[in-house]
Amino acid sequence: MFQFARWLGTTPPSMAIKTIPGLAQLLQVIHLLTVGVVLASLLLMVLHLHGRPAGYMRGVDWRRLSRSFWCAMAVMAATGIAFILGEPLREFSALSFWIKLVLLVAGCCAMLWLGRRMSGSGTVTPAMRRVALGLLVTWIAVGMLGRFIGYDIPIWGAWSPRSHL
Amino acid sequence: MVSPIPPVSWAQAVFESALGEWMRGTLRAMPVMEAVHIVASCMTFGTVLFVDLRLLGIPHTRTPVQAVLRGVLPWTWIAFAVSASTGICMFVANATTYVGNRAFLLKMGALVVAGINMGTFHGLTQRSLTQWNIDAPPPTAARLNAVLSISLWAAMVILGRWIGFTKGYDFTVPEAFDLGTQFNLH
Repeated sequence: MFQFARWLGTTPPSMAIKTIPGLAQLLQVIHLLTVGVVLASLLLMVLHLHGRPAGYMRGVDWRRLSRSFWCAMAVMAATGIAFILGEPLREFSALSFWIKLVLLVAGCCAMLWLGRRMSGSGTVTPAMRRVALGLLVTWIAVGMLGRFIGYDIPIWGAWSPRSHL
Repeated sequence: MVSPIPPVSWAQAVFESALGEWMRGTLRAMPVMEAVHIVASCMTFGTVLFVDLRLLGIPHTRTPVQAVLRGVLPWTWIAFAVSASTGICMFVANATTYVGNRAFLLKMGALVVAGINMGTFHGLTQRSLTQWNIDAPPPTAARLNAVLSISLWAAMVILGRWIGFTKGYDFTVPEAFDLGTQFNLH
């Protein structure tokens, strides 16, 4: 894996991200702003499914929130892939990165399930409410793990693959 | 009026406070504070964005503005409170560096202007809310408040990240903490 990361770090896209002035920084701020959209969309979805506050949620359209979420996710994924290309060894050697990846996949699957249930009968069940709340917690964890990538050894110690490099 | 304590001494006192010592002496304090700060700041920006888009009439004006304010703003305040508390902890840990950092000072400036902008919205613009609460185009003042708010909160996120680029990656493992021995890395 580390060999692959080292090779990836020498490819033209990786070199471009590393050498074009300001590109990595620009990608990072775009990534952060879209994290805000994803988290806020999720929060409003959770409130929507919990039916509160009633006055606001009557006017909120699930489809619109879902669209905001997935658009922001697409931008986040694109900038996230660019980070991986820019510093593959830093990402692949972090336990936080792998946990983040697993949570992201699980979160996307849960989101798709919720979306399908909402576009189907539209009836909100207790299970859907619990999943939505779990999703919000998952995405908060994903956001925190993103920062932990930079601090992998202090956070995870010997569990961090970086400590064995 | 001239401050009785020079700014650097003030920052030095904050730096040497018990909280500062704790932040610098606890291995996971800075990473955890930073991570929570980033997530809370992003949540603040995201919720502000949803409110401001409604003030701009985007995507429509069918949802009552009053309901959006009541429904979303409490969460903005919660996120902001978390972001501010963790931000203070981070500041205290490196106060002497932060006071001389231009990105940090600009971020604080943007925060003050955002506060004034919010004050003018709630104190002035919102007075006529009954006229444009639902199914009516928002007045120019509300649109201006919204554009300014989105720009300032986005600027704060960007400047927050810029602090890291300009201040440098100065996280150090506390002296009493030997990572090698602790985690069997030798």
